[in-house]
Amino acid sequence: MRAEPELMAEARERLRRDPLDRSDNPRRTHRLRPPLDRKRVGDRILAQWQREISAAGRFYCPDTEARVVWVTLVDLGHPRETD
Amino acid sequence: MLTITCMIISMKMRTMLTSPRAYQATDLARNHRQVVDDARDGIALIRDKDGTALVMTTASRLERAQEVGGIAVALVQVARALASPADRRTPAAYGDFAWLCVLPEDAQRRFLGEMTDRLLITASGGRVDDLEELVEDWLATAEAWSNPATRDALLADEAAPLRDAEL
Repeated sequence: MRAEPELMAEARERLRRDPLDRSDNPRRTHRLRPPLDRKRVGDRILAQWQREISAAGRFYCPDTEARVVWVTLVDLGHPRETD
Repeated sequence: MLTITCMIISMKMRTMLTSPRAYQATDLARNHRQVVDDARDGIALIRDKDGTALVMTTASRLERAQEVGGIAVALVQVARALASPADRRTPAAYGDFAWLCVLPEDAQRRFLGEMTDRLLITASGGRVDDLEELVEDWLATAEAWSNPATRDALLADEAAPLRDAEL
């Protein structure tokens, strides 16, 4: 994250502004499917999304009612077993 | 499986029936405007001198047919893989969706159901982008699931999130 401060700041702003919008880059924003599609955050069950940033991923749960985006994991890169 | 097969047949029939008029190769010079207009509206069928049937259509329609057809065939392969015992399946059995094998069985079946539904919508005029978006969502899920540390973190409940954390 420290190596790419601008990318991270941009990603943070993007999630703050439009967490559910994929139109700017559909291949970088994903709504996760089962069994990772939902996550309990506090007393709420929320949909889980991912925003890819370079080789890393930022996972988040937008709470549309409270208008809060919970960043649940910042992954600096995971093995591509699926490639 | 049956749904996919029916859909492929239905699409083939639709393609055959949307060509009301056949042109001769010479019509490309004589009536080129009419041939092009038919192609823009659907399909213009052109018979060459030796009887070979040629088709003119829009690039976007061809792209949609190729995309839908390719994914339909790939889903048939997934359905065949899921019909065989889990302990005998190899990643190759899933064909183009080999990455699906890292997900649990019930997720794989859900993928097949969701993709089939979305494919039907796309084939009936829906956006191809929506189909690609769903594939990307499932691929991202499979990638996250395949890493044990990421998987555990994403499955865990967050009892007390830090409201003011700056990342």
